[in-house]
Amino acid sequence: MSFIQPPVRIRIFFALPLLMGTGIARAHGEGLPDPGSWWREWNTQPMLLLMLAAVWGFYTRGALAVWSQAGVGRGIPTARAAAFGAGMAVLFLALVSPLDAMSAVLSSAHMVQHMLLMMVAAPLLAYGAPVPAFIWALPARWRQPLAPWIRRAEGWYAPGYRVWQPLAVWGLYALALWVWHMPALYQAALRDRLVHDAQHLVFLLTSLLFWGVLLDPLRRLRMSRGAGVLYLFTTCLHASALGIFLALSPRVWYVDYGATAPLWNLAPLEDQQLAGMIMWIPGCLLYALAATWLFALWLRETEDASTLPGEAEALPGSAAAGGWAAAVTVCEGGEP
Amino acid sequence: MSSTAAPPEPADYAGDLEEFNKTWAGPKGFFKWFATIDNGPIGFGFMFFSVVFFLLAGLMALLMRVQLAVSENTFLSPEVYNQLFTMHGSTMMYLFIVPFLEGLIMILLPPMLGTRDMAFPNTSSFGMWTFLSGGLMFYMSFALGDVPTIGWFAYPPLSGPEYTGLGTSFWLLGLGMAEIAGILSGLEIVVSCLKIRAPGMSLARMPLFAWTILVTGVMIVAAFTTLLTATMMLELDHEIGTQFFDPNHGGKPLLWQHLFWFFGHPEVYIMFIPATGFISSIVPVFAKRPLVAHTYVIIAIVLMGFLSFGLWVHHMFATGIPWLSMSFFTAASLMIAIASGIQVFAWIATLWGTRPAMKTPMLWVMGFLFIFVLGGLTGVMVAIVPFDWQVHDTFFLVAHFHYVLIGGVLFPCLAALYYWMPKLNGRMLSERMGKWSFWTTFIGFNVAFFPMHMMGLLGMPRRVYTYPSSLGLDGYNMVATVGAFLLALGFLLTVANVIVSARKGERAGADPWGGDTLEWAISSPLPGPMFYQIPPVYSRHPSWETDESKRQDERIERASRATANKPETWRGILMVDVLNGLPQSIQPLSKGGYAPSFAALMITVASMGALLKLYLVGAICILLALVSIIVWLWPHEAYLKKIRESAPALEEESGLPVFTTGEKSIPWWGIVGQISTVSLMFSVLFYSYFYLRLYSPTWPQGGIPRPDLLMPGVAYGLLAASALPQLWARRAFKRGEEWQVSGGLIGTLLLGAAFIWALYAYLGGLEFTHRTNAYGSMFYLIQWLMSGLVGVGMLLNLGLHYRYRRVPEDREHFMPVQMQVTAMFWYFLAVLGIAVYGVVFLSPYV
Repeated sequence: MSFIQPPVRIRIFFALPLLMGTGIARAHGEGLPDPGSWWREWNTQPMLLLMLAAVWGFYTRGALAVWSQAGVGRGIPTARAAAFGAGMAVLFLALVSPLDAMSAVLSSAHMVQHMLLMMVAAPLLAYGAPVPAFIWALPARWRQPLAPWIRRAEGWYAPGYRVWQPLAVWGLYALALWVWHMPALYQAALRDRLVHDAQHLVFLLTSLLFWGVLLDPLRRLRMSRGAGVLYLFTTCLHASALGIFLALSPRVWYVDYGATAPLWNLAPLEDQQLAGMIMWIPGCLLYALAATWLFALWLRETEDASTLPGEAEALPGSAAAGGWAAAVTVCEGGEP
Repeated sequence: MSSTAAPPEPADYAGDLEEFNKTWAGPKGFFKWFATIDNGPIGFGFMFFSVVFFLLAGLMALLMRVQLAVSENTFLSPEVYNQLFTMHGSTMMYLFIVPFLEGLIMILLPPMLGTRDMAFPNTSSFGMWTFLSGGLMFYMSFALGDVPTIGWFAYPPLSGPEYTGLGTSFWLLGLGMAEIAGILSGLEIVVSCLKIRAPGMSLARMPLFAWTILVTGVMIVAAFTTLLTATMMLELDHEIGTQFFDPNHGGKPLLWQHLFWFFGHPEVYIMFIPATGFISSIVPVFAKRPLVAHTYVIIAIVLMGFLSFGLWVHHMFATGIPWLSMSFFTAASLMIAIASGIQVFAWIATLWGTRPAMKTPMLWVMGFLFIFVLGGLTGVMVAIVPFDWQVHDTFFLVAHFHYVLIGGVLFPCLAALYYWMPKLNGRMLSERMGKWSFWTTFIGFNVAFFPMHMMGLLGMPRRVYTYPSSLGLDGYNMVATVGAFLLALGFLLTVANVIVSARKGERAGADPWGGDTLEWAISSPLPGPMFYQIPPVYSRHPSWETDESKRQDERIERASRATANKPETWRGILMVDVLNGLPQSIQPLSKGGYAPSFAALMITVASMGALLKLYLVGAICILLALVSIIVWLWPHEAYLKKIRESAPALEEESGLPVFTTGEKSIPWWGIVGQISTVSLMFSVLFYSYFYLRLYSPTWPQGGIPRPDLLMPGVAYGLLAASALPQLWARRAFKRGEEWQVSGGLIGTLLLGAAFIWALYAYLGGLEFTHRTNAYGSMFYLIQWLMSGLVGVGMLLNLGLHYRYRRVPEDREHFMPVQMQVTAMFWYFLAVLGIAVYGVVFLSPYV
């Protein structure tokens, strides 16, 4: 797993307890919401709420620690902090709100839940610069041992790194997406809480990696914006293909929804078609919007780079900053 | 071309002009047309032949209009009418617009970007000749007396082997050739825009035209590769009895529609986006101020390109797709209107309050705005499902897409022709004739096509050779026919204008319009090497802003000075950083020869031989084609020697390397382009594989057992393992360990051969063939392509090994990049093999 670079590993480390092994996602057939009372079905399992609160609290602590030293909006820009907050809110919407209950009933609702996790929450969280915040959230004496580890940063970036990392992450994301939609695995997730947790965890982690490569605050860790447009474009193509297969299939893939979808006046096949279409069109649109935004950033970058020809080469926050502080100072770099 | 060009005052640092001109001079004599690889003549070839096809297709349109002028006419038989609308549509779509644009782009892009030629000149030549042969094969059906009647979209099963004959086979083959030409020029455009610009031309300073072309290039590669794969499948259905689209043997005709419209919808934008590039280049020059909302226009173009790939199903509203999906597509289709709207308003805002000189280019732009907005509005209408069902397959659609294609694409092309013709041949087109031509075309167009909206709403179906007089449409039809002739007259006036002005036109001078981009800074007609000294660029409008003293950068100046009449003995261009346009390296371009055109010719003859069952001819020609491709790709040793000799001085002077690897070298971009295309092709095949499975009650179909895992596992395992000796060879190459390099390359070759042997040993023992059913066809096609690619990879390795042993003096120069691209391609094959194994062998077990 050498393609997962240490700062990314830190991200994984902090995301792990988020969902792992607690059986918080609903399994199929438990307390089915009906059209009359669906809005009362909140997933209030203490473990889930606790973890969401812990992550959010941890981030806040880190951000405040940075800001108290450097001034508000310095180190971790306010936009990034706000994005993280919004990402947590979307996680809440996806995992706690009645949407979670609905996703046990309707394939299409489950699709919406997954898309919120992978395409809304994940980019917002990845943009939120969680790594520096989490590092700063640690007590000073714990931060100390991390310092030499991060100081070795210079050695991490092999020359082809910015090419191979995105390719590998692109493949991982594609693999996760396609493998988990195989009927056998998806059905297993519907029937078993742990498998369902694993599914959500894999989706969230791969998409955190996926968007992290595009949005990382460390310039050297993220791919070129222009290549990012192609990265999203090709992902949009294969994700659409999966959506198309779901939408056009003459058979129901996930038979467990066969019993529940009619409660909502949808034939099981229609429910599946809706799920496929949601993945295809709004999904593709989200990639398109993200790509457009990246592209706009890229254009702005070229303007800067051309007025100051040397600027593009000098990477902010290099060895001079040193230690774990580098992870923070680079956030100051040139982020919008 | 270079005879009338006046080179700039020679500076003291400049190279020898005579030598330099000799290097860039094209070949002489009649056969020069086959030997040249210069962007000028190649682009001219594209444009000339595409206009010939345009006139042919226009003639067919007139014949159809004569037939439809009155009800129950017998001027054309239904059969001939079907043939004419098929050939009219397919010629216009495949043989006119895209090649015409490719030609214009090929001529204009290098001077606009401030470089001397396109990135892959040999490929330009090959593309032009494949396009021409493709076009001739298209029309071969007339000679065979079997003209296809399948529409430009060629839906199976109507276009399948059961209902069509040799004419359609030739048509499909011609289509395939035209697509290959398109893909190659798409790759070339992308690499040229990204990498070979003038020093200092950052992406932000790149002209908007180049931006549109860049987006178009990416779209061409994605869309045309899809269609090429689909065409190949349909052609195989015809020729060797595969069953991809035959519903009686597990095939699925709708698969073609998906693949076709995945190409067909972006195709509209592939034609339209460069047209907007023309408009965005012309409007600011005549308004005499920069384009308003420049950045937003670029963003709109990218968004448009992106979205166009998600919309194809809206061409299939009537094919029984799920009800629920309709509103999604309607909403998504409407979004395109936003992206188009941004551009239209940007043009209007640029013109707002100015007094643009209403010269002919500007007239065509105005005509474009008027007609395109109308076509766009009807487009919004047909995006809405209930309305679409009402007008589907009526003349309303005919009116809609002619408003978009003629108004939105052809008018900008004519604007571009009037605007850039002085640059191409040094003479102005006649303003008077131009104005006559414009007004005749504009009035003729609206008279011909506006009534079609009404006809469609009143229920006149398209693609039907006549209509009963009781429909009461005689009047509309007569008006439309008159309009069509007026339109044709208008086009002919422009053709005549071009021919007359080429001899008698007023001399244009370098910059007749006061243009802002670099091509106006050099003489007209364009000199052979384009720029004697590649200019430094510090602005988005380099020809408008001449005061550059405030922003000079030494690296940029130094690179520019080093190119003054230099390199003298070989064709050199500057490569720059994608983003900021800082010079990175000086790269040699090929010096040309007969190999690309000969290869194209041999491939054409070989495929015709195969279709006509002259297998010996086919085999010989395919061998000859292979040999000429090897000759074309083989580094020219004498030329390389010249480069090696002059490189040190040039490197000293410019501070830039000549022999480089990675993204600073042209071959690297070539192989990346090839890898992308092949990946796309396999993605399309995998998509088709799963699509067939989706509708098949059992998989594999027809009682074929699930594939064996062991034998193919061994084969693909060998292929994956062969990446190791390749890696070993590459490492040893860097360290200069001679015998390890040989050992690694030979090891790769042996493992590659073992893969092919193991694969075919396995295939030989199978119970089913590619004829059994669609599953069998898919299974075999993927294996054949895979083994073919491994064969190509082995040839690359063999060539590398030969040169490594025989030309040791090159090991430090060109060979590192040769080693690099060979290894990249081989690693790619190893990874692709794993994907193939997963899809074809493992997936049936899930």
